[in-house]
Amino acid sequence: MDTITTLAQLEKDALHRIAAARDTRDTERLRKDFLGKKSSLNALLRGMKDLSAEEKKTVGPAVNSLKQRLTAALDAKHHELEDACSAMTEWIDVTAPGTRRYIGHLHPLTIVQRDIEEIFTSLGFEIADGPDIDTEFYNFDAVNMPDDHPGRDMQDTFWISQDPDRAKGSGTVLRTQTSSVQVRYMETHTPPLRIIVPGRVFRNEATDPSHEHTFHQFEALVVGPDVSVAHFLSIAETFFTAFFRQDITVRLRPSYFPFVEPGFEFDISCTSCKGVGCTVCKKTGWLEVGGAGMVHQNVFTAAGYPRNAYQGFAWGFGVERLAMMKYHIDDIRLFHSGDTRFTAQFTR
Amino acid sequence: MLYSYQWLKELSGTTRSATELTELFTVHSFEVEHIDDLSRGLEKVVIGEVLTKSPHPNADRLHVTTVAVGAEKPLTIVCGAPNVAVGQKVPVALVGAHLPSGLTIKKSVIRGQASEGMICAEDELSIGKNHDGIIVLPDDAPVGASFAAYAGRDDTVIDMKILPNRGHDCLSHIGVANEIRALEGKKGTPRDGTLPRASALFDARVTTDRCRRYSVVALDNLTLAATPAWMVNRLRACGVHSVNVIVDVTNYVMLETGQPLHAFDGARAARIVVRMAKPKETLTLLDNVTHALTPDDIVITDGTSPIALAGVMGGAHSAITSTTATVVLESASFDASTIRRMRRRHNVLTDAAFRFERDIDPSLTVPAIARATALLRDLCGARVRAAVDIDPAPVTPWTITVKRHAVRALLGLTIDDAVIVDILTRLGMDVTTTDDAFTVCVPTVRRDLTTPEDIIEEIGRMHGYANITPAPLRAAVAAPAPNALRRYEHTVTDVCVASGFDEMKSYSYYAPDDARAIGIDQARHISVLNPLTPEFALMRRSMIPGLCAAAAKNLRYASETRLCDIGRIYAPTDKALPDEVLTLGAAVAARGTAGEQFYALKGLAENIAAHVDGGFLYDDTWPDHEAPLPRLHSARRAVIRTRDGAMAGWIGEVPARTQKHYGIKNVRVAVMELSIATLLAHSTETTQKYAPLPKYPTVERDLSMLVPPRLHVADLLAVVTKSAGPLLRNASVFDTYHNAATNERSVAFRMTFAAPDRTLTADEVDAAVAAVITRVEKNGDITVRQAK
Repeated sequence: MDTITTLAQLEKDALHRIAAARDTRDTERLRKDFLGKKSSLNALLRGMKDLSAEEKKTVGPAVNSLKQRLTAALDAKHHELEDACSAMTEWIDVTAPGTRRYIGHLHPLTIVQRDIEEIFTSLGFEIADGPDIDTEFYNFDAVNMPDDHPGRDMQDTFWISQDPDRAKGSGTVLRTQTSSVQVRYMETHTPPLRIIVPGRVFRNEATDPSHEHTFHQFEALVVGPDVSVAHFLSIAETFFTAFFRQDITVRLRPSYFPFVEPGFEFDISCTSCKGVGCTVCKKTGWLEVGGAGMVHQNVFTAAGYPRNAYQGFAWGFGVERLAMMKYHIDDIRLFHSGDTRFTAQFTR
Repeated sequence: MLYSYQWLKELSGTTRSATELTELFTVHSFEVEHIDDLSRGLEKVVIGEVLTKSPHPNADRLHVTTVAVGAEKPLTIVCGAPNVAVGQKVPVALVGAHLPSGLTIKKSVIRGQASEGMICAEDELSIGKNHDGIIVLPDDAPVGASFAAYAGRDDTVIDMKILPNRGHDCLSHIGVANEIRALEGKKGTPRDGTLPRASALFDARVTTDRCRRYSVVALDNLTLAATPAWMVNRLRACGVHSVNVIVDVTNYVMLETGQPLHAFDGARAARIVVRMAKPKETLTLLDNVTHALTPDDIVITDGTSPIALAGVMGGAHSAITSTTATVVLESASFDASTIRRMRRRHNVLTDAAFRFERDIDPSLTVPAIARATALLRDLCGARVRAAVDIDPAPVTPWTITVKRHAVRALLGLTIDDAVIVDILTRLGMDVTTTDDAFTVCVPTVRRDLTTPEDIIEEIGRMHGYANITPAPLRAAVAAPAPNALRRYEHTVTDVCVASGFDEMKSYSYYAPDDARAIGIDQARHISVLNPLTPEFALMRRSMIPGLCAAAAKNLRYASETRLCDIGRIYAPTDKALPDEVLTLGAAVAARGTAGEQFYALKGLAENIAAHVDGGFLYDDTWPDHEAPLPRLHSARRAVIRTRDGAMAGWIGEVPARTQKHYGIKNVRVAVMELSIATLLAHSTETTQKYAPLPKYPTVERDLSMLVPPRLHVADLLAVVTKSAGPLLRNASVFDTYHNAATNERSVAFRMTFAAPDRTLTADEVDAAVAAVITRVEKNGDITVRQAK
């Protein structure tokens, strides 16, 4: 039998025994048997010196290549057996709960407010703030709601000071609308301007599942030389499409707010049925979202702008309303309940 | 306001259904809140005549009747009513009727006797509550006719929210009918009329300019007939009860024209003087409440005493009664603001005041009084005895000029001139077109139209806002100015949440009891003059009450809770407006008496301190003079300061009595407040810089020492840090232990040493540690136990 044939026989035999190995002790013993100092392969290598130069050329590489193949086979079998073994002895229940440090929850209004802020910021809007307690001038007079204006009746007001003999507009109130910030901001800024004003507002009215005396509004104000209703529609559709992550169309209905003319209520296409009509939108296909309009020239003049120099739109809506739409919340009072069973339901 | 569909239909000539009108109004005019079809459920109810009646063979209390309903054959109906009788005209629900009460009528067999319908009682038709017997109609009721039509219920009530600016013209059926006509492409019907002719002038005088117009007609020869059913039905559809024919006519004309009228008993109003009330005058109104009048009240007097609170309500003394034979009819116009103050002051809201305070057109007084006079003549045979119209400052139409380009520029809409002219004309305006503008003459009833934008709104809404195509705003690309405070607020909130705190929101106000519970004097709060309830009377000066109340609530479901609330607290100032301080409030409520809650909360403070340049210092001297601080556990509280000594807030344990106030048991609560603006002023956002990573190994050494029980470990850490020399990179406290039995306290420090240019030798580190030991043991009150 020539050496090559011997090698072939050896390989066949070795692979057979490797395949039959039952544990890692077997593979280590086989490694010693096939590749160790006393192995027949080693003996073959030792006997190389007796071979002819011609034979050395073929036998040498053949032996080395067999060594590599056997090593690979042994390694593979060894790892296979090792994995099988640890799978047996080191099994853990991957469905058991992880070790975790409790992470708190943002309030759903914060989540929604940040979404709103991010969308508007990406559209180039500045985020402006104003005081919760403001003069009746900024809350009412400056936005074209002078004393005795019927519009004041639409918003029952909490008063902080209301001396009957006070100077005009000098009483102080808990702001009933974030529109109070319009003139404050415009007094110190020149158009073109794009701002949003998120903030807390207060109405002296009894609470029920859809009414709160404390809630949050979002005001958007865009002023420039030629800002139109068409621009408002575009910004509103862009915002709501981004917010609800679906195509939204906006519908305007005539309405009245003293600080705008024309004034609108605006609806968005129903986010549940996409405008077809369902129980959420009471079969109308539309959801009422907020009020809007073209800034009244009296508001511009209250801010010290010349009359008819600018056009702009203002719109406002309730953050709670948006959160309720987004999460299908049916009771507005939950937002201020302080109940973590409520807030822990939401993540950003 | 409630509108009768049939009335609107008659006045406008529309062929649209109530539902179709609703859709039209919604998009172009007003919000329709509700529509209510009064005939719903009465579709299969007809008038029948009882032809025969016989006892039911199998039931004592039932009758078998045959009833003619205009069909070929009379119906056989089993009826249990005690009052059913042959010859009666009755409402009959036919088989298939779904009555308003919910009942469905089927062909049935009642105790063996077939029945093909039902003779109805009031409650079954939801027109009353009576169930004692069937409704018996007048003898002339037409057999086979629709009961709904006969009873005046073939109408639909449309409940519309008229916007405040349309109160001038649309709180009336004529106003809304004209709106319908305009929407349907027709011109409106003007409200015309002339003062009824009379042989005598009525003796009336107006001495205040707050009465803008006063039209009055004295009528005699009145017979108080019953109000006709058609009028009662229309009043009822509009939610107005029938009182007597005179009052009904005044209400009817008001609903039709929008002009409130008042009828005085002629015997009590021989002459009329309209003036401001005098101090100490009183007047008992129709509601029998006596009101003390003020010089800001407009009153109608008989020349001596007030007989009506002008525009609000008539006086009881001059009311129409069953014996009234002569009537003085008033149709007037008053200053809106004054009426508004009057009805508020006297707390009386009437339909008249509701309209007057919306500033209605003084031109309406005469058409309305003419209409009412005509109705009273027709219904009661009234004769005009005297009349007068006092109109010191007649109102005339005004003009508004609207630039052509302004229409397009404001709406962002392309629209033909012809369309604009057509819209405005339909709305009753006269339009003159020039090269660059429309000049519009506005009818006096549209008092809301005063500016070009008002006219543009009319064009926009009538044309339809749906015709405006959204157009992207063109603006310079610019980064918006940052709102640093808000950004920092978000950062702090995120740290709270990551630290295991749930964000909550409490109201901005709390109760005087809350102020007491946290020990901040009520006088240091801003008060709400008209709080919703006394619980919300004070603007919050601290976040503690909100946090504690919420903690108490959550502890019902959980054994511990961690809450944070970022909001404004309100501090009085000597300026017009208070300081509003954006404040983080945080609380930990958990079991344990060794200050666990305090340290858990301080952990949050330290996470926040990572965003504060130089971190925080905790100072247990309680500076009551610096700010109104809440009452906290006197041995477990600290003021939180930034490195420069500014007070950023405080932290501490809520004392037992405060906890008790909020009903918190079995746990303790630690609370903290931090001013976001103060933190922002020390923000690391702009100060932080990269420090090169150490190139050579660091060496750590721990030092454990016995210290006095009440030593401030922060002070000792400062000593350690200072005495360790320049090789020290960092030192921190990693353990403290207090053995209560021996009153021994031990503290362990970990010190990290490194040099920027070489590997340290053990000797160098040993020398630094030795220096620390020498320094801390110098005073004799500290012993180093172990160094390794």
